[in-house]
Amino acid sequence: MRTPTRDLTGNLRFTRSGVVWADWVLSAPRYGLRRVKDKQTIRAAHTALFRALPGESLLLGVVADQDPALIVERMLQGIDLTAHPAWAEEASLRLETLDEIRPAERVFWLSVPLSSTSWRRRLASAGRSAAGPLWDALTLQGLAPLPHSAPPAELVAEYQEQANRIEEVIPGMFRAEPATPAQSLWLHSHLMRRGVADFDALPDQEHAGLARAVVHLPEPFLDPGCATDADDRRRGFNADTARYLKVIDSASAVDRPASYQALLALTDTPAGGFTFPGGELLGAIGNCGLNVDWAIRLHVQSGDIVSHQNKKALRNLADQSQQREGISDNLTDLDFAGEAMGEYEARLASDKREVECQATIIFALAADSINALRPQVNDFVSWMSDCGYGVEAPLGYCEQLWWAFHPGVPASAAVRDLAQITTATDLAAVVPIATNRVGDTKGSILGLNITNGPLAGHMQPSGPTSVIFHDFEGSALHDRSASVAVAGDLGSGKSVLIKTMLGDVAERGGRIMLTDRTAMGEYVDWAASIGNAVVIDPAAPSRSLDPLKLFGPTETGARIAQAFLTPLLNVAPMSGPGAALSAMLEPSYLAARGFTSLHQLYEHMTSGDCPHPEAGELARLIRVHATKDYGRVVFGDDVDALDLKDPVVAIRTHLLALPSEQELNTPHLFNQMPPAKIFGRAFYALVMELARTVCFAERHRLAVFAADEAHGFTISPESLASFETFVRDGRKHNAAVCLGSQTAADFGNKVIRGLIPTHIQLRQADKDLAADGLEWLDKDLAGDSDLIDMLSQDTAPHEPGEKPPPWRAGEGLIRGADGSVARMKALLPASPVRAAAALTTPPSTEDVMSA
Amino acid sequence: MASDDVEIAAWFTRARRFPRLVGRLSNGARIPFGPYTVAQFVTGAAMAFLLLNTTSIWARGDLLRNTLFVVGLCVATIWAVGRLPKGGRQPIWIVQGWLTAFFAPFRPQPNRIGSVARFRVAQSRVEIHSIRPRPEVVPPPVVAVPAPAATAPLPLSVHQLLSGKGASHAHSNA
Repeated sequence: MRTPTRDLTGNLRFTRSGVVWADWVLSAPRYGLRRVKDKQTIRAAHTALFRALPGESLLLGVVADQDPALIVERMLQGIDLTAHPAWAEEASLRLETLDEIRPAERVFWLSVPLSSTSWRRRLASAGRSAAGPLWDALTLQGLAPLPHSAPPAELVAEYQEQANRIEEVIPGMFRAEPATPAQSLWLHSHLMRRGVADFDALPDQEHAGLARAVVHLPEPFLDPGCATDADDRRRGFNADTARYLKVIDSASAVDRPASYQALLALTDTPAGGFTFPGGELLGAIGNCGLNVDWAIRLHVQSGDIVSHQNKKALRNLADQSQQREGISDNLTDLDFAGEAMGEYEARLASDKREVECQATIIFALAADSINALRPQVNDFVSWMSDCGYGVEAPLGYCEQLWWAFHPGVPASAAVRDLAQITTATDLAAVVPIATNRVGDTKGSILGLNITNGPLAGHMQPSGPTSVIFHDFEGSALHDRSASVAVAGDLGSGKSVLIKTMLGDVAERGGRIMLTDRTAMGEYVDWAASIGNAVVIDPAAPSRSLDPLKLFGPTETGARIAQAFLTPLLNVAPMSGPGAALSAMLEPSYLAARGFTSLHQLYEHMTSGDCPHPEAGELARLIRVHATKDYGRVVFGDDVDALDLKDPVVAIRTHLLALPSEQELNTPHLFNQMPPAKIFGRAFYALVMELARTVCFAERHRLAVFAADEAHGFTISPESLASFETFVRDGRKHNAAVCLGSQTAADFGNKVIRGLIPTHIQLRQADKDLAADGLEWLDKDLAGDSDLIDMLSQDTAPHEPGEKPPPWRAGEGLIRGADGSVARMKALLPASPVRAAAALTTPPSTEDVMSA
Repeated sequence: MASDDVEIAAWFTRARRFPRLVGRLSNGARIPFGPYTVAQFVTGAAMAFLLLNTTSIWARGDLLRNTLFVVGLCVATIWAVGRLPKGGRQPIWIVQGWLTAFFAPFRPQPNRIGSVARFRVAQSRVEIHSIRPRPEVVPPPVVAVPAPAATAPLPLSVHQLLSGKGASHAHSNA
């Protein structure tokens, strides 16, 4: 057999047999872990697709490399690299790690033979194909009178119209793109070199501009049974290798390794059927942890023809029970057949549009040697058998099954004999065209998508792995928030992930304001390591956060001062002291006296010049805090104001005590609250107000407010309200929050949870907390016991007292802004310096616990 | 996940592909040692036909021995075919596969002298024709052609004018 293609005209494939095929590349809808209703919609689109493909067709799902250069290009998109050289360096280092990981994606390919309507066309087509070999031979000898001609325009037009009609009925969800000749040539080479190709990425639509070219496709040399590996004297049938196919690219037989392939056909199906959702054999094929290609040779028949065949089968069934009665003890196969027939007829009767799909499902595994291939085959067979399916490599058919992957090759009788029979609706339940993709299409790389299974070792993905992008800048343009919340146990990699994200923001030119509540100041250390960061420690403040110093006696300064002083002094706004405070914080009052700091206002209150009689009482209350060491950060006269243009501001809050919820809600506990806690509560409100003002200032520059241990902000009503406004309006001002917490419950109220679209749940060893985390992640996944077990036991697993191995650290689940959920493994920054900075962890976790 | 959302999907291959066995004759009488598959009948009959028509080649003994030989070989064939897996694939394809696999190592192979050259030139000529020329490809000639006529270096255009070819050249290009 030879490569069938003779001419490629657009997505039309003129073959040697005279039949013309049309090819499309399909895009898979996002499937993965999502709610049942969405899954049903995707299944319905599959049903519609199968019903729209009468007769023969070929559907392929082949694993292709993702071009690391394209991935890196998406990291750089929209970034001025001359202004941000650090990001350019990170991208170039990332390119190297991506080369190691070899991210891959599944390419979905649909190929349909077109039937010619008129006899003349059919004759012309057959004539062309018959003359083809003769022409080739003459050309080779230099005797051809004319060069091989392109297919006549009207022939192309007729087939193109047919192809267009098919394209129209392919459900829009699959976004069918006509395959370009370059893509067709890629497929040819992929089938020949899978498992050994150095780089094997599908050319994109951009490369469609080949006007006219003659390509000499290397013919594959097929060696079923791998006889060429055997010693000449021991030539003959070898049961060990007979089921494998050795494919040699004839253009490079000497210098390129041969591809050893195993072609397995689906031969046994679960007798009791399979569940949907849950039994998506092809949709979840990546879970087997292997790079497996599949092909479905589909033959669709209308319900009428099927009823006829079923009647015949029923007659045979009745005859069989007569033939076997009293002779054979084993009648179970007939019972099964009868039962299946009853159900089959019921399904056909319940929906008049229902069709029969005879699907030969073929799987291909490949490696560079038999020894590497054999364990893959064993793993795959046992994985399939766990799923209730039987696959086998039928002896003597590896070559035919290999050709069955090629568009343009008609299915042979033996290949059709391996078909499994079902309806379009039932076949759609294996959801072949599906992807686990999650996240954005550009931006910074959060990690790897490991929905197919965790890494098996350093940079060793199991099954196709892709990278997960998060686009802090682009989200605002797409009218949704870029905010992220990360929940996870101590040591789950939460802070490393947050620091990595913040590092990306800083290097991409965004500004960051963060609070660090950890005793060891790990975020502060990190901020210091990335340079140009200002660290403010209330215990020994280097810069002041006094709103009047920052903004002067302006509307903004006065508003923030009011937001800070009201909870600090605990004065009711409508009481005498409250009204006095409000009057003194009027911008005009402040400006008239030239006050540019709270210290000056405080001194004004204590002096006799103040016209408000309540000033003395207010000053007494302020003095409680102003004289404490922690009070200097706001009331200190000798501390310079923070420069609001500093790109990274880190505020340590580890020494600030916070009231408990009980203290806030019980009057007598509230009244006995120590001043430090009162200050702590007011300080968080101040930071939140400052963050909002600073981050919202420049609409064209991304600003991120980050806070690990987020409960500091969500505990008091004042900062919670401010926080809510931040999250709600952040999108419009190109500002986002990046939150961390040990439990998802800390992410405040429902509104805040709902407004932060991207949720990441890292390891959570406690099952109850894992269940809460899962519910927070995605409501529809709540209570899924398999996922709870996975989150608590099989996410970044480690021996007690030890860290998980580096290739399993930072595992978790991510819910993207579009609602797709996937397993992820967070990646460290590619730059070793940045990675080391992100990894700085406190020497003892107990210290953090007690803080 | 609510359990009522879960549906059961099924494969119906079993409804149509079950072993066809023959256990009785048309008059309802049992066939001894049955039931048999259709393939057993066909191959048994074919074997008997083959042997009875080639007696001149193999028949060397007396009548009893020859009869025993025919019966023995037919029984062995029927038994062997009976060992084929029933119900799934057509036996003919299974047997064809065995034969293919058995003879595959004897096909011409590229690492043997003589076959390498033939195998190395094995190529398929595929022609690519564009049906929708890309817009970027088409415009350049349109823009590029008039330009030389307008801004061509003077000596050349003078030369062309003198030789009387310039105008017609530009015209033919346009």
